[in-house]
Amino acid sequence: MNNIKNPTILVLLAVILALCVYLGINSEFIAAGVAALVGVVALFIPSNSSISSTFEKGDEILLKKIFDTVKKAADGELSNRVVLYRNNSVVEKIAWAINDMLDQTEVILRETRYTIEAVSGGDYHRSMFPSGLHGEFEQTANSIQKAISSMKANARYQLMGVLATEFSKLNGGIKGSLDVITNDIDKTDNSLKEVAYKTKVASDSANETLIAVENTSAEISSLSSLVMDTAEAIEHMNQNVNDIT
Amino acid sequence: MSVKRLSKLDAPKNITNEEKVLGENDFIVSKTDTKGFITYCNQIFVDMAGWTAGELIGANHNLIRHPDMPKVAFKLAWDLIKAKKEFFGFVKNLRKNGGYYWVFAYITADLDKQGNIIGYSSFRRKPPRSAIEKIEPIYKLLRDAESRGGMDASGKLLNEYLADNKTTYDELVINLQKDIKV
Repeated sequence: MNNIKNPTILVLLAVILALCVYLGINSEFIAAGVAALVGVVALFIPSNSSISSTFEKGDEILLKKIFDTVKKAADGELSNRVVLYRNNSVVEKIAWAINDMLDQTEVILRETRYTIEAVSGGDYHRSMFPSGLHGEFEQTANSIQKAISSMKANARYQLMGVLATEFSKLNGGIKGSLDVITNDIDKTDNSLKEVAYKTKVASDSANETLIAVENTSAEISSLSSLVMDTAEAIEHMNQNVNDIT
Repeated sequence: MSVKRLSKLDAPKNITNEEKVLGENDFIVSKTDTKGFITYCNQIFVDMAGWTAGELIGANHNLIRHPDMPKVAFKLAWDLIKAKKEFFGFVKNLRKNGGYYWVFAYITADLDKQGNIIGYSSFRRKPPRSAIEKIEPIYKLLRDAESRGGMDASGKLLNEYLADNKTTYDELVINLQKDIKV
């Protein structure tokens, strides 16, 4: 009975009804009965087009909008959408699904472009954001993010390589650097030997000085005794002088 | 017959603390013209914002601006996208019922084949709770600065914060968002 919504069936029914009336007026009752029977049967004939029976008024306009949007997307203009206010009919659901697909396609392409531009400029903090994306959109975003992480690691190794090369150039490279180090060690060795010799000389001098000091000390001690003896002699002489007076 | 375009003037005044959390695998999409009037919104946006598609399409995007957001965040966004650069940011949005929802917004300009800006697209994902906890007190400081000295003060404060932390704005927000998978 859904066929009653189909405009073609409605027109057919109207024609059959008019025919029945006409035949009835002209006393063609049998023919009118056959026409009426055809009309009743027509109500139960399923429609050949299940899609056309599903479409509602205004769907043609929506289908045109869908076509325009998809056509532009096919031409590489991904920013267009089918503007919708409801989500009831089949065509509206198709349009929402197309919008959702375009949303994800557009964001992953846009993020990829900006991310690669940033990374190409050495800006490695830029990242893809797979969350919210579905299925292959999410997997692709994750793969791109992994590639960026690898590029970041490679850039670090590359920088280390450049630094190593620059270091190798300093002082004639590694051999030159080792020669400089060997030479420095030789110099240090010689210096240490000289220090050892000077220390020994200083030590010998110190021993000699010690002996001299000891000798001097002994001499001072003798002198001290002599002075004391002299003092006693003077005291004794003083005594004798007093006796005389 | 002219149709009324909703804007922040029509936003709810009864702000509540009721949060609606965006789904892990969902993302909000909206598009605006060059003046910031909504030309497209997906169904998740309708669900999260609480307005109907008919109310949202044609409305100014500032309809969903939450008073807890510092103005300098939107200035930064507009400066970047008008220069055809991308903007990332954590945004607290206002729902029709006065509640709110947090998003990690990614906004870029839509260009025609000649490279002219014909509108803007905003893709919003669920931010990690750790990022919200980090950014909320920063926004509070920026709002306080704005109430004292306007956007010059909040802009200066933001630059000082970034300098003190030896980072850039992009690096800060991207690293906060990446924590969701760490």
